[in-house]
Amino acid sequence: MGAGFFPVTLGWLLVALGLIVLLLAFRNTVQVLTPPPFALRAIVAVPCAILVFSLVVDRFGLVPATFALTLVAVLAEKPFKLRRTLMLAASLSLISWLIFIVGLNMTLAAFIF
Amino acid sequence: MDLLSSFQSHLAIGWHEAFTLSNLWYCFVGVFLGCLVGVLPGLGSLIAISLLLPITFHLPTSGALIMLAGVYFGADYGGGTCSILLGVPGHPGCAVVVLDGYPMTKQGRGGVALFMKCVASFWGSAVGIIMLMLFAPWLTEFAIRFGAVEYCSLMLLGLMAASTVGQGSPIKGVAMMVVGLILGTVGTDINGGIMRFDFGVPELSDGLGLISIAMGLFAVAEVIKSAGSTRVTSVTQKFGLKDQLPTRSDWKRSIGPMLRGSGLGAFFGALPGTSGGTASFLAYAIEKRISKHPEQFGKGAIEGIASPEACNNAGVGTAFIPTLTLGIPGDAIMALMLAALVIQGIQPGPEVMTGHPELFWGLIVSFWIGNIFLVVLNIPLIGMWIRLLQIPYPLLFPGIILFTCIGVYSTQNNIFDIWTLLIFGLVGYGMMLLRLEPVPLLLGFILGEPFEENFRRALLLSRGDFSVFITHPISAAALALATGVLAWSLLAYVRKRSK
Repeated sequence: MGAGFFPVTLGWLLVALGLIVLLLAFRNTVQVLTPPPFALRAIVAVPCAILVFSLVVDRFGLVPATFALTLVAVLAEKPFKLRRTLMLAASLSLISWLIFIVGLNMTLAAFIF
Repeated sequence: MDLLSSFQSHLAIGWHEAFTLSNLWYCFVGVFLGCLVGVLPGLGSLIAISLLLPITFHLPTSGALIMLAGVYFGADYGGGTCSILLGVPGHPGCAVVVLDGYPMTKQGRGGVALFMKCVASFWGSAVGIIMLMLFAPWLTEFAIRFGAVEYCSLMLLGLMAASTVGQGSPIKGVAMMVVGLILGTVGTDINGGIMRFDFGVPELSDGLGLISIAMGLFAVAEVIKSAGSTRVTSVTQKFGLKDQLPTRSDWKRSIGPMLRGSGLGAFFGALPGTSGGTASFLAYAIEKRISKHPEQFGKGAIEGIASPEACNNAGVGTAFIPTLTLGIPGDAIMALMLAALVIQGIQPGPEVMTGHPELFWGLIVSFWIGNIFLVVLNIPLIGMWIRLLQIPYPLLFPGIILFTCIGVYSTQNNIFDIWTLLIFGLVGYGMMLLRLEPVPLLLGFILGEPFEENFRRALLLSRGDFSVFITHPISAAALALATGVLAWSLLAYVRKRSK
């Protein structure tokens, strides 16, 4: 038994389970499920905020990354308020600096020049 | 007599460990942060623990576990506060408390509901912890003789129970569990050192990051779902100490349900897969059936708070029994606890108690301390949590995303982990849309590696003979139970759908 045994067995098992789910879905056409909330703004904005953070944090530091993340994330909700967003970003920077850099001594720079 | 003296010596060990200034502090911080995250709508104990898990990397072993246990208790508790005051369950586990808690708030008796919840949960926790103290040493002696075959079958039982006892379709649950197991195989093969599914990416040679997956599936997916939808956030009531004191009849009506609920929770909590949440629905149903005035249930009956809450918390305590003695987690939260152990360099299993008694008993004593902190934090300081509940979500969710990002990044100082977080956040949201349960996936991912290891070791020792799993009595019993759980849940699901 080699390294491939376990993944291959699981793969076939998943194929079988997938087929069962598929067949059951064909049979129950009557059941109508209410669609879950689908907010396109949030689906785009939240992942983009994470992506922006990942691109900024090791080039410019934690504080710029926090500002970038906050500015993109707030786009998930409709009324964009610049003053409130900037204040939020500033306080989040302060909190995360206090917790992670001062408190926990993590190797993370607040600013990289 | 012998039992009593061993009880005392164990407590002394634990007392010594838990009553250091730093461990008391970690316990307090854990409970406080747990309450803080738990009280926010939509964020439950699972998210709270995965958010705070990276922080515990930087702490000593016992401090880390004490803090995480505090987070668990705190978040579970905070979720109930949110349910009672806003009528929105903080997380699925406290959905029952909404049924009678929110009506009580609307009648102006929210304070009484919160107080009784506090008493019931303290009582439930006490029962759970006592059960843990009684049964854990006994089960450890039993488990020390287990071999690879037994572990393998017990893990399968845990996986099967956790993936079928959920809310939705048991087939989808098992499928998600299998996906989790497959994700767990990414990286270097433990037996041969061969790379699997790494696609030439060096970051994948250690496998996918547990924290990234957990936070993506739960926290990020939840934020994507909640941002942009409407929310209730208004609490107008006053909560002085006077408004919280239950009347004599409230007490009288709550004692019986509390006793029954805690017994039920203690039993179900110890079983794999059935968390306190499932059992608390049962506790509620039982109270309603045996009550002399069932028509009051759902309209603010105090029994509907006392029983499920005691049940839920008793289950939290006993869920630690299989987790700490066998190293087999009953649900995803317990699995994260085990992950914390592994990260601290301690192999989960019966050796935890025999090899690190100060850690084990220190943790248990800290459960008591944590529950006392919980009472102190929640009865006089309830006003603070209410104010927290009213923070508008637009101010809150960027912070949640930020903390998940920093937490994930801090585990290895690697950007790759943030990308994993991002991908699993999208996967988790997609799973919500498709009604696939994320909990079995996470549990499968965590147990994937130890399961494969034990499976292959068992077959190696038996020279490829699969019959060892049936000829070993404990293994055979576990497999029979696993089959039974699957069959029963399939039957229940089919019956529910054909209605």
